[in-house]
Amino acid sequence: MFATLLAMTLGVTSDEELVRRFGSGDRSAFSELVRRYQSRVYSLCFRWLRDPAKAEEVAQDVFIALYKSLADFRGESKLSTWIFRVATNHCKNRLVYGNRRREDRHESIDAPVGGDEDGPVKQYAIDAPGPDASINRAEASKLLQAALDALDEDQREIVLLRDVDDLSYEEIAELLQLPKGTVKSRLHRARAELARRLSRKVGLEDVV
Amino acid sequence: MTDPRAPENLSALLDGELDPDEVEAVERALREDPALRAELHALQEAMEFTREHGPVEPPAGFAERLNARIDAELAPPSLWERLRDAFRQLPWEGLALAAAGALVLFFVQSAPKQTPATTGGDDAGVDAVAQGRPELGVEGAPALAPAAAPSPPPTALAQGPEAGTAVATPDAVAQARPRSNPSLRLPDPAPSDAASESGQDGLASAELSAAAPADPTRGSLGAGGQKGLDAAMSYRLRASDKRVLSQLSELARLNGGQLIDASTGEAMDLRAFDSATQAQVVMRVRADRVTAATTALRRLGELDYLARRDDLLYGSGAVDVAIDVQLSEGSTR
Repeated sequence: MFATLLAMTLGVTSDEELVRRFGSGDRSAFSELVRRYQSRVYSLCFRWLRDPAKAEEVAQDVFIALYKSLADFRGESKLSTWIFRVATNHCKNRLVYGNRRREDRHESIDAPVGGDEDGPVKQYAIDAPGPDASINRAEASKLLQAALDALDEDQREIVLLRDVDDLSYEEIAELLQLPKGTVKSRLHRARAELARRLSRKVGLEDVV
Repeated sequence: MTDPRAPENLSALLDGELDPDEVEAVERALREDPALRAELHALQEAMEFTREHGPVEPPAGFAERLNARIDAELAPPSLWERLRDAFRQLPWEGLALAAAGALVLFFVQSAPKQTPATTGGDDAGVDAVAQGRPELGVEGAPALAPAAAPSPPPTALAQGPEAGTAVATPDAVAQARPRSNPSLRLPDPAPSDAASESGQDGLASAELSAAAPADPTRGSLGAGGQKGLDAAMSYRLRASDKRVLSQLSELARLNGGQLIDASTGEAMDLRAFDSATQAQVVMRVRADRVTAATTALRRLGELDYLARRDDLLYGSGAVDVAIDVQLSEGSTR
């Protein structure tokens, strides 16, 4: 309710209003939701799956699930919580069941060319920087991915939701069905571990 | 807050998740402890690094490709597609037999009147398409053998015309009409609301030998029947072919899962239900195969959608689909 009032005050259509409009047959409301969440959903999928083609496929799966369920969405939780819960579960499912590509999907035009799809992020393949070169953004992304991969799944999950998808502690607690205190302590351990790994790889001040 | 120096308070401070009193306590601790300040600094750098480099923009055209998928996968079928599917689902063997039977009757009625022969026999031989097996309708599933061509009822052909018999009496036509194959059924519409589905009192039908569940809107796997299985969706499947349980098992396997006996929570022992007319099973399938599996379910028999739980629908790894299977023997349609 507060979110709706705030959105109205700021002249921004709330998620709840978009859901209502979609239920009335306004498909542009769904397009607005996609625009609103696509970056965060794709980021989450990419950081879980480490492959742009898989990330796009799973991100689209999430939005298709949203499309199918939106008319029945009862608002018992925030829409954003629902979206990221579905996205996280889809990513975990994809990891559990391996990397078999769905045969009825089109190939992503952004699929990595050659190489092992299960390997590190290929789209950022660059020459290793020289000893005096500061790392660029692409390399920083690779380093971050390697540090995230080294976390255990629970820690990775929570740091992605907080620091990549910008969910609040309360939203994370609801999404993961955890007490807020557990969110706080688990997030801290995840960040502390990330800090330890990143400080070994690069001086953070060296990132251009 | 128990201890302002507790490490997790540093992250919460950075996230603005402490109340004013807690902030003051942690800041006081930071002023007094350089090691704590250093730890805060490291955390802040890691957090900012993740926030800066963590997000990844989707590839160009993401929304357009998404819309194309939605249009392709979720658009309602065109009139032509609906007609085509209905055409394929018609029991052609049965219609052919009925037409042949009607033709025979026509000629019988047209022939000169003769002494009536002894009637008798039953329509047991008229079982036009009951031997067919439905397609499972999933990727990689083998296309099953089509139904055998029916043999015409011997009594209808062997008999001569009967004096005074009305053309194409209902009984005569009924003898010639084959039992329809419930598997060759027009596809159900998209799962409707559980409340509306529960209004269809198919359980009162004489062809069903099982008792109706007390509350169909809750699904047939009540608390007493489940052994720790929490189904995301619940269906009632009525079929006349006992092999439906093995077909369900195969369906589950093709969709990356297995069939589970709801009363024991164990993998299904199909032999235990060989002579039963009712089974409560759970078809556990991969979460990303749920749609394909539930679509294929409609081809196994008459399917009532009972309930769905959104909070379980995308559980980790697999989805439980509860099915109350009711087998009817000797049913005709």
